[in-house]
Amino acid sequence: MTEPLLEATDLRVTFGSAAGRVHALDGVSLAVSPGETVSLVGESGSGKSTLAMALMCAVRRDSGAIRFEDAEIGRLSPKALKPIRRRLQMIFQDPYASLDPRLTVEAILAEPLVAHAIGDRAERRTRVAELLEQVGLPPDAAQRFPSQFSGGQRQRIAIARALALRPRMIIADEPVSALDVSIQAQVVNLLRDIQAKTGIAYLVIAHDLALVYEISDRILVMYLGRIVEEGRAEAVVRQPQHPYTVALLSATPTTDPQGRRQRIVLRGDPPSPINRPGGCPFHPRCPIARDRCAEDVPSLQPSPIGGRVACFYPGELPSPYAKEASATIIR
Amino acid sequence: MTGTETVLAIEDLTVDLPLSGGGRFRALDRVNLQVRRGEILGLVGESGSGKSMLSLAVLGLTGIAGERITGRIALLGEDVLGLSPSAWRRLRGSAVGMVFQDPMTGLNPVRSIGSLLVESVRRHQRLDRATSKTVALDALRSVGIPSPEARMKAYPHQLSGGLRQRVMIALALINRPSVIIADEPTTALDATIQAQILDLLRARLADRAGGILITHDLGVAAEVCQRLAVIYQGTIVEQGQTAEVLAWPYHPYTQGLLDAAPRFDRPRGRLVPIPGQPPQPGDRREGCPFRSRCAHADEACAALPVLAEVAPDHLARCWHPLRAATSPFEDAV
Ligand SMILES: Nc1ncnc2c1ncn2[C@@H]1O[C@H](COP(=O)(O)OP(=O)(O)O)[C@@H](O)[C@H]1O
Ligand SMILES: Nc1ncnc2c1ncn2[C@@H]1O[C@H](COP(=O)(O)OP(=O)(O)O)[C@@H](O)[C@H]1O
Ligand code: SF4
Ligand SMILES: [Mg+2]
Ligand SMILES: [Mg+2]
Repeated sequence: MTEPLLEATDLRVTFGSAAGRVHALDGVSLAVSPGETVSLVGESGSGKSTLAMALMCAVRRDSGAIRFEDAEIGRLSPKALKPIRRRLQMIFQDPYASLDPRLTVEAILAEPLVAHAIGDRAERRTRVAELLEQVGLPPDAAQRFPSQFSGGQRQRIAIARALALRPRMIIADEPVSALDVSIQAQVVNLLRDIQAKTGIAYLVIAHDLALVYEISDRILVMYLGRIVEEGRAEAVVRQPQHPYTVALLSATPTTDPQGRRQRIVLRGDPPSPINRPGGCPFHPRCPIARDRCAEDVPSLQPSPIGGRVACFYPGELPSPYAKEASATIIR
Repeated sequence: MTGTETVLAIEDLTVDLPLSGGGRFRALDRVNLQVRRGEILGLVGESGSGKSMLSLAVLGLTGIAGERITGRIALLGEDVLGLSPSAWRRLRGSAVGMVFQDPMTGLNPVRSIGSLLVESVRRHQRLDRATSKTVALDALRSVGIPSPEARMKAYPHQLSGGLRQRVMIALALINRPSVIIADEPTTALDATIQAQILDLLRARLADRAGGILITHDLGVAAEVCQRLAVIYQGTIVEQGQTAEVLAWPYHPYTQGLLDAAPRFDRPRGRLVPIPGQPPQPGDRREGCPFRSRCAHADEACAALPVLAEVAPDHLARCWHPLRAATSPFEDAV
């Protein structure tokens, strides 16, 4: 395996709240290789955004190390982090909130260049034109304001801004969740094209497992602040090892009549990260839990099929999509 | 079991709304839909296509300054379009129940769950307090709420999103309405909770009533609905049995939605987006509403196609349907 571009070890983040301490990240380790797309999937409150912020060194960690391009960045001052930010960028879900409505698109795209003192005015203008072309926006978009664009076009602007400094990696928090499905596919394909051309790596946060399967090389499944399964996308969908992954697979609505057979519906809500259950955090909702699951905490271990899984009884539940995807469906 | 009684008939429903810059735009254009007792009709389309406008019209909840609504909405055969606000208050919660995306907008935050349910029963069924309380407890039980006695005293904000949506469904069903309108009822929920609520809707929505499930997600409609109507820019473009529409779509937009959505049973790396952007309120709208994004569009598409029967119980509005229409005589040949 290639040296990881980004590597995090044992990240722990807690927040104080009126109801008690929130264990938002409870010992998360992950690695992303150059040019790879890794996705992080899980329900709301599982700690996905906190993980993104922690990797960007934008939230206080209780412990854990973060390496980027072979250097420890977890303890750098904001000033020392600035050059790192050039190569590690972030995109957010809401293309409305993340773009300054008072600036033209040109000013928005030039802003990171100005902040890092890159190029003179003419060079920046050229770079803005390149970026617009790269994300499929017309040249005259430069003089318009964010409010004059649709949601999908605004997300293209946000992507262009993230690309301005030619980063080696983008962390994208729910980048297409707010978009209609037809536009979602446009943006996903755009991200893929950019990767093919530039070799950029992505860490994509999403809650839609079908989308994650579509775009990822590897998938990380989170539950209550922990990674419970990790594996190659095809393996996670065909041979999921953790019962929560199976539940997510069978809960994802599908137009495919095959997928609607034999499904597992979990009972109850995910527990609060304030009152984490003892033992396996999933055991109160787990369809195959035994006595041991309430006592001991399963750690993330190598799984029989080459990924990692945190379950005492891995691979027991079958995937509703156990069969390989057939070639094109002919109608 | 789907009965034959039509509980809701929407005929030529047209809604014109004022544009912020002056002028008007058509949010719904001559929509015709029927819902039979025991059936859930899925209304599917992208954001801004007019789905919520239709649900508000059926619930008598429009009221945008300058709106113009024409056509007919028949609830159990009775035309309800243009009823007075007080007549609507009698119908809502009794003849027609509603479930919205955000239960907080449908549940009064300063009232306990129990008092909301009891009040609705007392208002519409004229039962005494003790009997109403029994009905309310049964309603909570029937939507799978654990320890209903304790929940009666809770306030909406004390419940999780999934439980709140169950309460909203209990409230929608409590007076045994003939029609239920559910507008994106699971959109705000996590996948595993969405699956629970879809199970509940499947089991309970069509018990005695008929319903419309509004969603932007074809997969959600496929899980719950027997029939499907696809809407684009205020216009129904395809309609039919769900399984048939999904397996043999005739309209390029329906096919486009299917191709754009990721699926586990297809090879990866093949999402086919629909080009262009979804329509905006001010957009020009002569001819086929989909033509600016349609790969099959030609001069013919400058005129609006009719919603024609392309196969038995299957309608599509396209000059160039994706497959040859079945002749009504084909079976006999
Ligand atoms: N700034 C904060 N203060 C207190 N609690 C927080 C804060 N940010 C997140 N949390 C809590 O941490 C947990 C994980 O949240 P988050 O990372 O946003 O999850 P996700 O992105 O998966 O929905 C949640 O319980 C959330 O309420
Ligand atoms: N209160 C309102 N005033 C003016 N226009 C509105 C209002 N509500 C909705 N619209 C417009 O009507 C059209 C249909 O909206 P809506 O029914 O909410 O779509 P959907 O529910 O399919 O996303 C959109 O163009 C929207 O902007
Ligand atoms: S460890 Fe036990 S409770 Fe946890 S997921 Fe595995 S079987 Fe279920
Ligand atoms: Mg988040
Ligand atoms: Mg809506």
